[in-house]
Amino acid sequence: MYFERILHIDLTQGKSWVEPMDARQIQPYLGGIGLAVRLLYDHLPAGADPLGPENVLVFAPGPFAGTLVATGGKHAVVAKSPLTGMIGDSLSGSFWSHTLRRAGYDALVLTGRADALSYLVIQDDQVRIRKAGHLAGLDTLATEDAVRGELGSEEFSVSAIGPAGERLVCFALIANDRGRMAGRTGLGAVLGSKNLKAIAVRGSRTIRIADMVGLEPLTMDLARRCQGPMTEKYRGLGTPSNVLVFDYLGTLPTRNYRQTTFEGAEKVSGEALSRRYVERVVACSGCPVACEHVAVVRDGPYAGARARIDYEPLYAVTSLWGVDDLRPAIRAIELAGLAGVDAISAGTAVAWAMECFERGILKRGDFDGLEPRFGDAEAGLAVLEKIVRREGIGDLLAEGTRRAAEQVGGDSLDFAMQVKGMEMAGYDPRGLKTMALGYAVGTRGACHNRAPGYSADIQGRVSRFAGGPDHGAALVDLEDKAALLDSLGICKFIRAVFGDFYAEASRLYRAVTGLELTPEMLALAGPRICTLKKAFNIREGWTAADDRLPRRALEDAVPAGPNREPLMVKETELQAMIAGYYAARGWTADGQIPKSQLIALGLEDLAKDTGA
Amino acid sequence: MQRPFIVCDPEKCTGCQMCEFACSARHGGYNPLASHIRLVRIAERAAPAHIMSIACRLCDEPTCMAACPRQCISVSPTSGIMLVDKDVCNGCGWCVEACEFGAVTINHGERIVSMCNLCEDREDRPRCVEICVHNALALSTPAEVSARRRREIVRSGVLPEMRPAARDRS
Repeated sequence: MYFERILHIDLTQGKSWVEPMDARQIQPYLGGIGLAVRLLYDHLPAGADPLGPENVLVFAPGPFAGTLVATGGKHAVVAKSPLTGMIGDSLSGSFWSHTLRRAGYDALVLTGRADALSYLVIQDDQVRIRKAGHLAGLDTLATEDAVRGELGSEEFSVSAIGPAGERLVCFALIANDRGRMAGRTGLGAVLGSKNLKAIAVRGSRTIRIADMVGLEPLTMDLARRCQGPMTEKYRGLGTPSNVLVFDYLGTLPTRNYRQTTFEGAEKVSGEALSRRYVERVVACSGCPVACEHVAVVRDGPYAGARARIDYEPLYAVTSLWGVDDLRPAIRAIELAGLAGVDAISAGTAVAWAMECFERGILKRGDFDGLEPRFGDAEAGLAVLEKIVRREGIGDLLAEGTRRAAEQVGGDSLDFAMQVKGMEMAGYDPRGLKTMALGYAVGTRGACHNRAPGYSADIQGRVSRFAGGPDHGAALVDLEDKAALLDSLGICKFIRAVFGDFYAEASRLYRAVTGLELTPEMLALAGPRICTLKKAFNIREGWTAADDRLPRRALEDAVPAGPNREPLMVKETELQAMIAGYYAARGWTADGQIPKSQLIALGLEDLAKDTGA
Repeated sequence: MQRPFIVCDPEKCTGCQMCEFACSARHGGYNPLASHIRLVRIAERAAPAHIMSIACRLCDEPTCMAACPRQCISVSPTSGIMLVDKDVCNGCGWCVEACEFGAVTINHGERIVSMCNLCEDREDRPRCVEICVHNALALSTPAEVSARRRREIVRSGVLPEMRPAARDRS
């Protein structure tokens, strides 16, 4: 449901106010990512410094937050990214999303900068800014605990940054509810730049939806189907089951993408993790699936390490470092969560540093005596600690792999595995061509969540070995569906549970909001939201030259298995896919958005910024 | 007397909070703060370690009833649920403090006491039990709970006397 209220907080002035926003204005963007990006677009001055007070940080739950609609408690966090200088959109979920909704808001818009480290307390209609100097340096969990303790109620849900966010590490994250994270694009640094350590929310409003009698059986049915085969992977081994599958497919990034299979894959597989380390499985608030596999190390030098493990952080601190031991990996993922950095970007930065060391581009002296070689988990962890403290070489790596490579020079940019500044996720582009395209054109950089091309590759909708124009349409379809889920605030892990997604989402939406949202309207919302993000990037200076891949993906071939030519993304192949993608989006050959497209999507007001 | 009440198996509970959503929807709308069953999640370091939901346990000698200075709590002779006289209760909270299980809450809207009534007014199972897709919640009696525990512990083979290795060492 919508409260038709947007909470604005100007941290410079220390003032807050509520602006009404009609449900009919919200509906084209649904909520979550869509609504947050629209609010960012409308409030951010073009060309703003991502870490300056003029950046705008928006939090928005989806329309189902606060209700029993399965997994509907996700919230978007959106700002201009300090990592890419383009759209920064991340998702988290659980108690915080539901609580923000119950506090009576559809979104929270933060501007300005507090004069000293502070935290924000939102208790229904009451908004307070409290001093947080005494919380400086605390990790994400200790911050949550300290804030709840000071406020004297467990009913507060807290989003917080760790020391990395305070130090403006460009891939710092925002954590909430003990282990959920808005991980990518460095939004923790944006919160840190606003001198905000945490946002505590308590909401006591009762969510009264349009048609309770109609919704109850729909939610019950959806919750039951979430126990079916389509979520078995997430409930069983969890996403770490990807390790062995990707090793088999030859798409498991290994030793900074020098290889795509890992001889130690078995040892760091989801199977090994589950057998030896997973203690229990936990759910987000409002989720019938329960995918959080909590792993605990019981012995050895990393005894006591405890973290929720998913595939992407896991590959980024195991195969990517050439490390075949789960114990330091669990510790590294725990450290990333506590210090508050995106483990994918941080792990990739460490792997890049390892390669620089092995090639002699960076020397022992650059690492204060460390010798970070592939396979050395301890050295990897030590470099990770330097990053979160911005100490020595860590200060450079904390800027992200692209800027670090630009500074270090040599040919190190060729193997900086990022696009637009954001590091690739755990899907090697050379054996997954739709993913390669998704990385190249993705509005937030090399991302597997907004541009999840891998699924067309793995399901065989297009050839994963040979890219061409058809991959464009396949990616558009996946991006649009992802945008819908991200804006409705529904978890992607139940995407396959829906039969006819448009029809089902339409029924749920009507029961919750009372508003008509036909499948036809939904089919336009996906492209509208994707196009809006692209328009944001164009306003920030995007050109077609930004839709590219690092040289390693284009020139360093990897084995493709028996009887196959070694794989890379050939330049001609990439250009054919990009052309197919622009065409499928209805964009010009150089990726610009024609006015007719903006009009078709109800975005004609953007024409002044896009030059269309 | 062995009355059935809502029991939660912490081994199966994922902490999803759907019981709180579903319960609160039975009296006014979604609001976990108004639920009669309440979820507890206690974390150790970076992830939840102890998780379970708690509702009224239908005590034979309810401390909440004994603590009430206005005598507005009584036990239903048929089902054993706590009956609250809403006209008499003034939300003073003595019963909240008296309950050893933390199963009594003050309804934040009406400011009077609310406790689980096992969805008496519902034909089907209690709503929280129905929505619990992991079957962590059940309407069960103490006798059934202990019988289930016995069966589980025997099946798991973790009792020291069942382990050959343990016998060898001694």
